[in-house]
Order: sequence, then C-alpha cells, then structure tokens
Amino acid sequence: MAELLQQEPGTPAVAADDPHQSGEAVSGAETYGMTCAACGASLRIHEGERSVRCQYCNAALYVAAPAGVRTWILRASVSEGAARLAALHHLAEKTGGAVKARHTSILDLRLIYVPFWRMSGRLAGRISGDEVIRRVVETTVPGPDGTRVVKRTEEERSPFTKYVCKRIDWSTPACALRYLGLQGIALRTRMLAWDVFDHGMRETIHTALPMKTAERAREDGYRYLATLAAPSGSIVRSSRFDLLGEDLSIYYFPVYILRYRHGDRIYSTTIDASDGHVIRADVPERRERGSRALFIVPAVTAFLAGTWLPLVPIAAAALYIYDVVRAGAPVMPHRWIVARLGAWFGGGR
Amino acid sequence: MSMKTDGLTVQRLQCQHCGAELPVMGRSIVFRCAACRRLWAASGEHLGPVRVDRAVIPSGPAPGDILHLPFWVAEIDLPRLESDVSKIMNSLRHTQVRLAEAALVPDDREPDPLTELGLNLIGIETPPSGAQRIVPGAAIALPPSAELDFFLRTIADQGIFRVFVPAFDSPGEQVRLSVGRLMTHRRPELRTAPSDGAGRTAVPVIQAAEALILARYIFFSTFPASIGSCAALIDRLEVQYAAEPLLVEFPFVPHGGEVESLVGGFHIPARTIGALAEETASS
Amino acid sequence: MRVSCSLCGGENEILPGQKMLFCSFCGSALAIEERAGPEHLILPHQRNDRLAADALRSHLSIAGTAAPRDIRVEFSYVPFLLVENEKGDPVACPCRGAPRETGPIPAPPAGDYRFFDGSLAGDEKIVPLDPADAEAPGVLRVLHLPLYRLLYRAGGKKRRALVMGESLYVYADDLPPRRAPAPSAPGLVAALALTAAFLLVGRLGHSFAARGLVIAVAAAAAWAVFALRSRMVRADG
Repeated sequence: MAELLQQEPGTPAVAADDPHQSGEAVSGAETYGMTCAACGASLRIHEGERSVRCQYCNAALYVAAPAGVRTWILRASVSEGAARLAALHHLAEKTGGAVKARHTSILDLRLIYVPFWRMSGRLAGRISGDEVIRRVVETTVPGPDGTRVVKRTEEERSPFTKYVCKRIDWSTPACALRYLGLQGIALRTRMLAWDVFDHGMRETIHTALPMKTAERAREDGYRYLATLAAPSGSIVRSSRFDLLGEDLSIYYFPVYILRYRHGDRIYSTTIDASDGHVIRADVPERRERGSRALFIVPAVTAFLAGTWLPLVPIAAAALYIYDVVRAGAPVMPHRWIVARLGAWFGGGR
Repeated sequence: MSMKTDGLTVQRLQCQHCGAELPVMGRSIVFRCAACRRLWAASGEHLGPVRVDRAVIPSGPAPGDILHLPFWVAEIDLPRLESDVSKIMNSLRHTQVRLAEAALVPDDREPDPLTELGLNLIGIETPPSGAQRIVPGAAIALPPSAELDFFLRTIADQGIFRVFVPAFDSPGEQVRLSVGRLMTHRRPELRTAPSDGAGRTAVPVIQAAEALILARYIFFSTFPASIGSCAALIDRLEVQYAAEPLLVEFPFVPHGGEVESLVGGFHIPARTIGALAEETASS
Repeated sequence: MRVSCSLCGGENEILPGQKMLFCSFCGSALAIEERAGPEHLILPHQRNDRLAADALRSHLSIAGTAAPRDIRVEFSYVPFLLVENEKGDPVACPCRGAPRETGPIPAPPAGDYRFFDGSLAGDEKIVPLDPADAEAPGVLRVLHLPLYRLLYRAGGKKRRALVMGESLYVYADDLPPRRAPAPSAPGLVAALALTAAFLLVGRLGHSFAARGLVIAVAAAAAWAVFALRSRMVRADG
C-alpha cells in the first residue's frame, strides 16, 4: 500500500522505532529492483538484505549499497481513466452530490513523477539538556472576603543525559510541491516496489527536477533527527550524533494532477498514481453566508409591511443612509440594492 | 562479475579464497564457506576476511538449548585515553580561567536548541559546543577532578577495558545500547575459541566500522553521571582502540520469555533478538 | 545536452540531475563531471493562452474582485536565478529584462527541466540573459521559465498580471476593487416566498406585539428546519 502522508509543513516523515520501520526483513516490506550478476534476470530484494538467491539461475548474490546517492522510481499502476473517476467521485462526495462531472470542465490531466529525498540508517548519539516538569500548585491566600485559592504553575528542571540508538527513516520533498498540492507531504516507503531510476525514462515520462541539493537534504534531516531523540518537553543543550549505514537517496513517486473548471474558478486535485486514492483536492465550497439573513430579512419585512406598508421603503432608506455614512463614500442606489441583496441572498457555489 | 547501476551493487556471492558459493543469509553480514571454512564479512561493496570466535562456556555441564548471540568486542586503548582526557581537561580549565577573567555578562536567554547542537556527523564537520560559547553561570561545566581521576584510575587498574557491542538483529535498536552497556559493566572474562558455527546462532548485522562508533557511545554511557553529562569533555574525546574489534559469539540460554547470558549472568527479553542464522527460504 | 564518452568518443544525450551514464556506443559506465558555474535550464511548456486567461479569472474570482475583460496575452521564456535564502530554501529571482511586475518566486515550479536549448522554446520569445546576472555569486541555476503576461481591463482601469506556465501561479499586485456577490435567483425566490408566508402567518396576530411574536416564532421554526436539513445533507455527503 502506498502512502503519501498529509502532515504539518516542516514536519518530515515517520521515524522512531516503529517495528515496520526497523528495517527488519518482514514480508511486505519495501523491495528494490536489481539485476542478477550471473544471468541478468530482474529480481527484487527486501531492504536490509545482504544476500539473495536468483530465482531463475539459482546463483547466490551479494548485494551492497555503494556510497553516494541512489535514485529509485515507483511505477504508476493507475490509469488516467481511473484517476479521473477517482477525482470526480471525490468531488461529488465532498460536495454532497451538488457538483458532479457534468458541472465541471476538465482542463488538464497529467502524470508526473515527484522526487523525495529519503534518509535512513541507524542513529546513535548523546543528548544532554533539561527535562521540564510543570505542575499546577494551589495555594490559599488571604483576600478581602476571607481566604481564596490561587493556582500557580511551577516549573522544575532536572538535567539529563541520555544515549540513544534508533533506526530512522526521514523524507522530504526534493522540489516545491505547492502547486501540486503536496506541501507538507512525506513519503512512507514501506510495502512499495521500487525500481532503479534510469534517466532514459525521462524521454517518455514527466518527472519534476529535484531542486533541493543532497547537502541541504542531509542537513535538514540531521536537524530534525536531533530534535526527535530528545524527550518531549525538554530543552536540548548539547548533542552529538553519528548516522550509521546512512542511505540518502531520491525516490520518484507518481501522482496525477487534474485541473478542472467549475463556474469561473479553477480547482486542482492530486491523485496517488500507485493506488488511486485522492491525496489532496480543492473543492468548490458552498457559501453558507446569508442563511440567517434569508429568514431574518423576510421576517422583518413581513412584520413592517403587516404593520404599515410604507414602513418598508422607510426602513430601506434608513439602511441606505447608514451604509453610505459607514462607507464614507456615495453609492448609487441601484448598486446598493444589488450589493445588499447579494450579501443577504447570495448563496450557492 | 558485478553489476553496477544507479542502484545497488550486485556480485556473485563467492568465497574469495576457493571460489565456492557462499550460503545466502538474508541480512547477515558474515558468510562461512562450507568448502574451506573461511569466514567473510561485508565491508562496504566487497567482502573481507573476518575472524569469528565463540566464547567458552563457564565450567559446569553445558545446557542443552544454547543460543549464541554475536557481539563485537572492542578493547579501549587505556594509556591513550588517560592522555587524551588529561589534555582536554587542561585545555578546558585554561579556557574557563580566561572566561572568568574576562568577566563576561551571563547570558540568561534560553538556549536555542538548534544552535546548541554539536552535530558531528559523517561527512559534515561542525565545531563542538562548549568552550566557545557563553554559558549562564559557570563558563564551562567540568566534572570534579578528584572524581575524574578516580574513575580513570579504576579503569586503568583493570588492565584491559573491553566494550561489547551487540551485533545481532533486533526489532528495536535501543537494545544495542542497553545490552551493550549491561555486558560492558559485567566485564566477563574473555576465553574464546574459533567458532564452528554449530548450533543456533543469531545473525550479525552490524559491520566492524559501525561497531566501533557504537562502542564509543556504549563506553560513555558507563561513565558516572557527573562525568558522562559533561558535554565539553565527552564531545572532544575521540576514543582510540588497542586493536581491531573481534566478533565473538556468546552463549545464552532461553528461560521462558527471556534469555540468560552464561558469561554475563544477566537476562534480556527474548523478543529483543531478531533473525537466527539459516539460509533464507525466500532466496 | 550532448557529452562525449571519454573512452570511445561517442556522443550521448544527458539530462539535468543525471550523475552517471551508460555510453550507448561502448556500454561503459561513466560518471558525469559537474561543470563550473550554474546550470542553464529551461522548462519547456505548451503555450495555452486560454488556460492562462482562465487562471487569471479564477484568481480574481477567489479574490472577490471584478471579472477581467478584454484580456490580451503575451508569452515568453524569462530567465530566473535560483538562489538559496537564509533558511536554505530555493528562491527564483527574476533577471534583468524580466517584466516589470515580476517578483521573486518562493519556489520555482516543479517540472521536467532540460538543459537550455533555444530550439526547445519553439517559436516563442526568449528574454535574453544578462551576462552579469549569470556570473552573480551564489547562483545555483539559471532557469528559463514560461511566463504569460496578461493585459486586461477591470474596475474601469487597464491592469497587468503574470501567470507562470506549468504551475498557473498568478502574480497580480494591482487587483481590481472587490465586488459584492450577486444575489442568486434561488435565494431571491426563497426570500420572496418566505416574505409572503410570514405576511400570511402574521395575520394570525391581531395586535402589534402578537404579530411580531407569531412571525418571530415562524421564522425561528423555518430556520431550525433549514439548519437541520443542511446538517443532514452534509452528513450524507
């Protein structure tokens, strides 16, 4: 199952000792494509495996990750038609059936492979700082009408030094994904089948060029990982880390970007091209403004008209004068009427 | 022949001595040639010779069901350690005096965690924190000299100080430090013989170079709190080793949900142990 | 961009970001050396004036301003300098010769960049790069980005806006004045019907106060039913 996670901007991906992230070769863990050195067949290897047997020629093979950046790609397995259907179904669902395919005009649908930097390895290090414990203390103090209870927050700091070792898995987008609707998306690589990225593929597929350099990605990763190892609520004063078996690689993930027009606005939807689920979508919002005015204005009008009909234009004139004085500029009466009616009864999408 | 692409490096898994095919072992970094009995360990993109020993079981009848867990054993260069600590402490004391003489105004601001980090990471050089910045109150927190001297003397009196780094696979990595610290504290006698690989053995998944880095943190975690929390000293101390690390299989006996070390005399939960050595069916 | 194999001399095509290559002639694995100076890249784009105009309309609609009229579109590839800001994030700054309204882009549009080659722009205009800009310190890359320049009329004035190709990001500092939303026909019909209904209901009250009370209760009940129905529709959706 593929996952692109929506999370707070600036918060990279999963880390910590999630057993599924430990790198242990469990079934269903991510796999990587490789070529048998004996017969040239295509094989798959689980992350962390050092040796494997070719299922075609039975040769025993040793696998190593050489130093340097590797590049992987996940092939799209969802067709354009399926992506379009998923987006339109999502739209109908989010708008309660009010906006369907026939209400929209699809402008653009394209498949693009989006790069992420991923860093994994074993983090070992030391962190020193202060653990902050906050307590609410109630004390009784004399007051003008006898005693009263006052709450005060007390802070206690206790220094700590801890040594940590944990498997980490961190990722960040390698280019600006704002327009793709993927800001703050992180990549979970487990249970996915990655293939070696061949730049020759770029003749036939669209890829987004990584703009963030490897050095910048590494720095950002280490900066995040240092905060990860600290106890929550603590102040870190100093730390030192080593990342063992560091693997910094680029992963290309497939997404469909669909743009459609509804009314006079353009909306975009991003669909995961590995499993077809909608990652993010802008949908036309129903403007709820004016629903109370829809009842209050007719009720007041009916009351005034029922009491004495000329009260209605008198009240309208008073409201007009009030609006003009508040705006500080003259407004033509017909424009004012349209604006007021629009503010009261201008619902819809 | 090896295949090299933008991805992984793949080569035939062969004994570098006799050419026989080595067994496929999943995540294990050590391979034993069935033909010539030589041992090979993963070392980056290639295989290099390695020696694997097995700890002799202490006197008494050997229990039936023994599980061997691999540890890297690194011997600290004690004379060098003492000399390095002495140099660093002199330097820090000198800096402390200079800061006191300058009568600097204490900085009461909360330290920004990011600027406080002394990251020393592979490929990136960052000066350690400590002496080069102003700390509220005392300029640099140093351990009491008497306590530090006593600690160093205690280590030196032992003659040999070994750090034990668990090399077996584990679902949680923190066990590498906790079990390593436990074993290091116990200071088991090291009587070994070359391992024949017989019986149940957990696969080693940590390479020698990685073990030496982990050994450093395990070693520091055995220090008394007053010394181990002194970042200014710890971050500057580059631990040197007297020899190449040894890979040693230690005997453990399962007891219900735990395994007991026959040489260390401690228990660890059985769930902390990952895969055992056998040719993996998936390959 | 074409590079020569150091072993056989064969020419191979490489793409931005490519670090190694298998020569298509002799099959050797070659590492691609980084050249000194920033890379010059272009983001090829299929010009679509109608989509650019739609992007502007959408942008102004979201801003609640008057709709644009008489839109005229110009298109060119404009050079931007990719630099890192103080946080280390990439920012694309327009070069000399860029349209006046162009400002720094927080992040260049994601896309399939190629090494700069004038032929990739087709017949479209390419704003030339000032050599002084190319040699400015700290420049990581020079990006030739597809940029639409739209001239339109709104709010009684001529105005200008820019739309970035590929991302459809709109740069429009000079926005028309906000316009009031138009009343919707269903809303007006509903309001008239409710007014008539409240008038009829109000006749049940024979005094000033009674009429007010009856209308208020009827309005509150109608609003409660409407709110409940809206909630049920939202829950089903």
